[in-house]
Amino acid sequence: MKTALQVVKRLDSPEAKIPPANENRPADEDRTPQQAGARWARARHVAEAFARHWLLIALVCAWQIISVKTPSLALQLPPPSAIFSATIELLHRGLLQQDIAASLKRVGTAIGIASLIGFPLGAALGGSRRFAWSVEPVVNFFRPIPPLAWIPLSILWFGIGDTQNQFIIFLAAVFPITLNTMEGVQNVERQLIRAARTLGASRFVITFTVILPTALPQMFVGLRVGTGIAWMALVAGELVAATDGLGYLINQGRFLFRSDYVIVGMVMIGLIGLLLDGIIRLAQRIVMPWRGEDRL
Amino acid sequence: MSRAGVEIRNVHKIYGQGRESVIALQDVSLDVGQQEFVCIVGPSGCGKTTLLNLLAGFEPPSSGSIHAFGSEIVAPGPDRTMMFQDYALFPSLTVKGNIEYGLKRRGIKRARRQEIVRHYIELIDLKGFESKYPQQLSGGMRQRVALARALAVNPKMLLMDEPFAALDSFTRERMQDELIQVWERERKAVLFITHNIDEAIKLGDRVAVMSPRPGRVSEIIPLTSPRPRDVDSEENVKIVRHVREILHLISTSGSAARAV
Repeated sequence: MKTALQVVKRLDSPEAKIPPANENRPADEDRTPQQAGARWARARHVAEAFARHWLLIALVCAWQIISVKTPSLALQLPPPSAIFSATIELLHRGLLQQDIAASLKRVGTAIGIASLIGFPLGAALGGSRRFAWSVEPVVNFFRPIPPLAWIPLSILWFGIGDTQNQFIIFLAAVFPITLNTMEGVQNVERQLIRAARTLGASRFVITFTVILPTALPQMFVGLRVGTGIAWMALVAGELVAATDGLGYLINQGRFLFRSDYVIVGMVMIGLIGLLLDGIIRLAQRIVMPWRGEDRL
Repeated sequence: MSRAGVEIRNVHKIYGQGRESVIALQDVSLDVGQQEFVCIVGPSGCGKTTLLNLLAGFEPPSSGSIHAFGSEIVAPGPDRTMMFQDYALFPSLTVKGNIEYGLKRRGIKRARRQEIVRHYIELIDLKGFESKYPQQLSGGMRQRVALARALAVNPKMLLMDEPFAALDSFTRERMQDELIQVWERERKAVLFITHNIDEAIKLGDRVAVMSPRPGRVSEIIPLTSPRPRDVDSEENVKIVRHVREILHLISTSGSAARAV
């Protein structure tokens, strides 16, 4: 899905090399769109992206009207306007920033560690049959256990706090990263490796010049999926055991009967999740210029 | 060692063991001169790709010996580069990056690399495409890059595994012409595998016909007429017919004709 945010972002920097839609087609096919035409197409793109959200906007409007007209709903479903003012209020008190920062820090640390372990582990699993022979059963044993099932044990081990939360997030992210890296490495065509060998490359050099770059798209899939799941696990972890963060905000809202706080937390989680995904996709485009637009 | 480039002597290749073993190559002997263009033609399953893999050094023969330029082949090396049917270009590298891949592995200095890349970019007529990625190129262009990449390390021998099979017939004919032009400028030993008899006759100095089950060389036919060759000339039509007879593609004694 292409978000309006991304499209707007692209439009912000027209001088940056924005590939025309057909940049990646074989060069034999004529590329006819001229500069003016391309600009037009881009403008239409943005308009379309906004137009696509009409239903969402309509639903929010309906929500506003219904909530305002039925005062009995005030607690169950405060109107968007109330949520907006709650957001402002929380920002004003500095609480929202604090919670966002706490959550992002947790998820960032955990994904960093999950990457440091998951990428090399996945590459080794995909690259060495002997390594995979003994290690894959271990991975397969732990993989189906939901990260959230680890919460009680992790509280016993780490107490309530950052480490415990990061542990849960780490567990959520590490498996998609590991398994996708493994698959990516396994799927590198044998002919590519052979071609490199005939050109005089050693196995070590081939690993870094052929195998990993070719597996990179799949590794990014792992990172994206891992980050998505990690973000969800983060909130669940914070609901149970944390003293700050967006999950904590939601939980506090529950105790205080402030459903507007709860919804502020929910909306923030959604927006930041979207933003994280967008950042990874952007990184993907920068790191892998040969891939063009990726729609996975 | 003689002046021969490549000497294949009584090579057998057997896959698997015991009852399930398959004889991929049976008693294959073949020479390729230092500047000779040899085509191997045969239906699928005749072991032609296996033979090429042995020559590249990807796997060892079960028995027999293969020498290239005076030494036995034990591993892949840049004196024998390969072109694959599916191009096998590195997707993460540009045209330039692909061509200079082997040069980098040899530790050749940047300036010299630039020079060599420029030479081959011109040779394969891909000027202006240096910074494109393989995914952005057509099939014919990709195979030209693969050719340049294989030639750039200045190998003594080029191994070509049905390199034009995936191309449409017009592009294929153009590539054949270009290959011959390039080869005439930079002579190497070439072993070119194809299942297309016309292609073999158009390109080769000699054509080795291989038959399947077990894979073996049935006959080696020298081609004497000068290039560019007209596949439809009387002489060549006869040769095509002869090859087809060897491969039993034409029913000569009432037995059922078989398609490839």
